[in-house]
Amino acid sequence: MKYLAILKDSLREAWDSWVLLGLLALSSLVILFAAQLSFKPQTAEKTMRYFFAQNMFQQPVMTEALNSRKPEKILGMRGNWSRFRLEKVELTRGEPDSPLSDYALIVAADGRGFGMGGNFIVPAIEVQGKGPVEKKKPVVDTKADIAQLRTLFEDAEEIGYIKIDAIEPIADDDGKGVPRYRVNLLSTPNTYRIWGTEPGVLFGLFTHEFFEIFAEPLGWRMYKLAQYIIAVGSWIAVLFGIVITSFFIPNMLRKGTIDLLLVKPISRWLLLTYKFLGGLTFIFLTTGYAIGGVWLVLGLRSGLWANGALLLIPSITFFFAILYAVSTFVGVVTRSVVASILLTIGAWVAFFGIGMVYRGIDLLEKLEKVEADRKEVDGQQPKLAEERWAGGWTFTTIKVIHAISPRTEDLNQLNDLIVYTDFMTGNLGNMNKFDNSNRSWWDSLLVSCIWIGIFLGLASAWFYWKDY
Amino acid sequence: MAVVETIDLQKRYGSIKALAGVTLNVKEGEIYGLLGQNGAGKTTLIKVLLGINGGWQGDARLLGERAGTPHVRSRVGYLPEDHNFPDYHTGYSLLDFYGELLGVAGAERRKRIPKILEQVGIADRMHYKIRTYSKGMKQRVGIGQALMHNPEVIFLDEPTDGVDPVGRRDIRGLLLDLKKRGSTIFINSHLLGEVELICDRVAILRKGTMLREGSVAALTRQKGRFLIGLAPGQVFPIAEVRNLGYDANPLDDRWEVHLLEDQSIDPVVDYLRAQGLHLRHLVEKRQSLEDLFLETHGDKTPDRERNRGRGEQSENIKVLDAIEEERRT
Ligand SMILES: Nc1ncnc2c1ncn2[C@@H]1O[C@H](COP(=O)(O)OP(=O)(O)OP(=O)(O)O)[C@@H](O)[C@H]1O
Ligand SMILES: [Mg+2]
Repeated sequence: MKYLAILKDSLREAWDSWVLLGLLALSSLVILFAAQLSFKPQTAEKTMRYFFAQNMFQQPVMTEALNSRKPEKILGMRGNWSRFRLEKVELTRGEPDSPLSDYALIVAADGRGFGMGGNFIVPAIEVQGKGPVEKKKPVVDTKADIAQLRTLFEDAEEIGYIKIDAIEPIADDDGKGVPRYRVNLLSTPNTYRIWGTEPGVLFGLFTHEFFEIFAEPLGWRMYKLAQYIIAVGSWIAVLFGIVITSFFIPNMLRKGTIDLLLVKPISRWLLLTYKFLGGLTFIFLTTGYAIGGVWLVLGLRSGLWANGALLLIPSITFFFAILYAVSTFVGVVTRSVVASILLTIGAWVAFFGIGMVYRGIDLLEKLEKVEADRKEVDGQQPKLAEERWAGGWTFTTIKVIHAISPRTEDLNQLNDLIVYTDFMTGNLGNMNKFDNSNRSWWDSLLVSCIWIGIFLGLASAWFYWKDY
Repeated sequence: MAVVETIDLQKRYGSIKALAGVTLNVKEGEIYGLLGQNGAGKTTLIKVLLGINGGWQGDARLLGERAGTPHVRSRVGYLPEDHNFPDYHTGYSLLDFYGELLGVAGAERRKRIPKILEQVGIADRMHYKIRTYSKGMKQRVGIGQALMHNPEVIFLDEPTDGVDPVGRRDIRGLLLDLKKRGSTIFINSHLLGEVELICDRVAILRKGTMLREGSVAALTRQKGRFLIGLAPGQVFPIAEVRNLGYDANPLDDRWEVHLLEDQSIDPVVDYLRAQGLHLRHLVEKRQSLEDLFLETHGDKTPDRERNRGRGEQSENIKVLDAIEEERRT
């Protein structure tokens, strides 16, 4: 097989330059790092706290975790999450501290209200402090409280982590007028995914209270961990990949080397395509090693098998294919390693920039919409068209540029979505539940494929007509 | 059948006319030498034939097919000048790589490669990286890779460049072997002595045009010049021979007789015999290829005086080889 011959040749070349070895060593380090982490389940009490705000400035961890892909939802959230405080967790069925059991939460509504407009209820405790408590007991709107309280669990119920059995007021037993509620939660087979988990290092041999600050619901914890690993890992991998593969084409085109390949019974465009595919296979294998390794050890250590995250292997390879096509084109035209590296990294930065700017305007547009919706509900004047960002020519220009340029940044977003969905739900079928970007991923893939075709086509044409 | 056939082949690189209408014909089973100064277009001719360079005019056929197509390339072996083998390969793995590209099966490659590398004399170093090879060793790997798939025709651009005299002789032997087995060989070379030794036919290229083409013997023969040597102590009767109407001149310790039109050397020989002189040396003088080469390139003062013809030069090479041989053993 001629393709295999060229692949083997590329691998030999990369191996010879030590860069491949460096890449494999780095990947091994990351895998080793993941392998020594341990994940200890927390108590039911600690777990249930994630549904409640720890202070009035921060939304509950669970809300953040379940809405992390919808920043505008959190930013525009109407509500009063810090009104409720978890007082007690009672086991109603099953083993204590098990994600398979059912629990009842006793919630006191004595927090300070700090919502972003609307629905504002004077907190009982504040009125108490001022003295004339007995005279003017605040009006407690039980119905509104229950509705409000429900929102804290709704997101989790919607995805199927828990079931809200009932929320009911309980008799005021301390006589201070603080309303209390009982929330009956039923477990589901997925409850373990949001169960509080405390990470440890060195195979769990070394434990310390300190690590509790890293404790979070399991899926969320794993997603954030994976996110760091991928963010750092894929940057390094792509950078290494660019450096390694940028040698392939100029070296192949050296005088006295290319003649020997051109006289072989293989057409030039096929030779170039094989060389391209050889480089990709090489990246595919190293990415496979790194991601497969991390997936394996994280699965073994945490019991959370994010099989769907293995999709990152082809996805990162495809990301790389876009850059490698640029590198191939530059390499064929300039025959210079330095030019290939610099221009490819330049293209990477440019595509990244376009993607980031697009992401920014996308979020701005959503926020404007949230604001407009609220103004409508509150009966305020909507913003004037000329005051709005959305619909202006700047945004349109950016959108057009984004639409027709290679979508490397979209791929990053897609990777993030894949990892998130998989760690949180274990089922990539849920992806569109968390996908609030109004872009079509198929479009992104298609546009990127077209660009790969354009770069390779130009490179082939140049290679075809050139005398060596 | 003509293995290589070009008719009025032209090739330009921008404003440079590298080939300006070359017509040549290489027959099956011969060793063909292409001579020419630097920049004459020798390499260009091979590259056009092998499809490395395109955009030419005229007609060029290789083994009966249009030159340069992938299919016909699978039937030829090629050693480029200034080759630059990927130095992360070993001699063995390089041949394996090229063999795979040429479509030679795995089992066949494992069998052939050690044999070929043995033939070119680097079998003991075949598992070392090419970057550790000397120049001559690289050249030998280069010849080896050109033989990888038993090609019907082999193009060698300066095959003995950088190779020591013993190695050169080995390579000559190898090429003659290949010829015996029916391969056709096309050589570009500057080493005229070598070309003279092994080529059946040669062509001289100059600035992209063909100056001469023919068998080595035909090209170097100098009609009507005889070199005569007598037994030691005997003196050539120059005046008498001149009286017979011949143009005779001393040349070192021998004499050169130049025949004019319609003359034959026989009367001179008869006359010498009749005088009781003992003939020790009588040969029709030949030009060395180098003389011919210099002459065709407008240099009218070849150092012919020092040369006694073709035999002498090849003898020099043989002497050198013998010295090397002795040194080695
Ligand atoms: N790739 C190229 N681009 C432009 N000009 C070229 C190219 N290759 C060769 N030439 C020119 O074509 C002419 C013929 O070159 P070629 O290499 O065929 O000569 P040659 O006979 O092989 O010389 P040498 O004995 O030095 O190897 C030269 O003038 C050279 O400068
Ligand atoms: Mg040349």
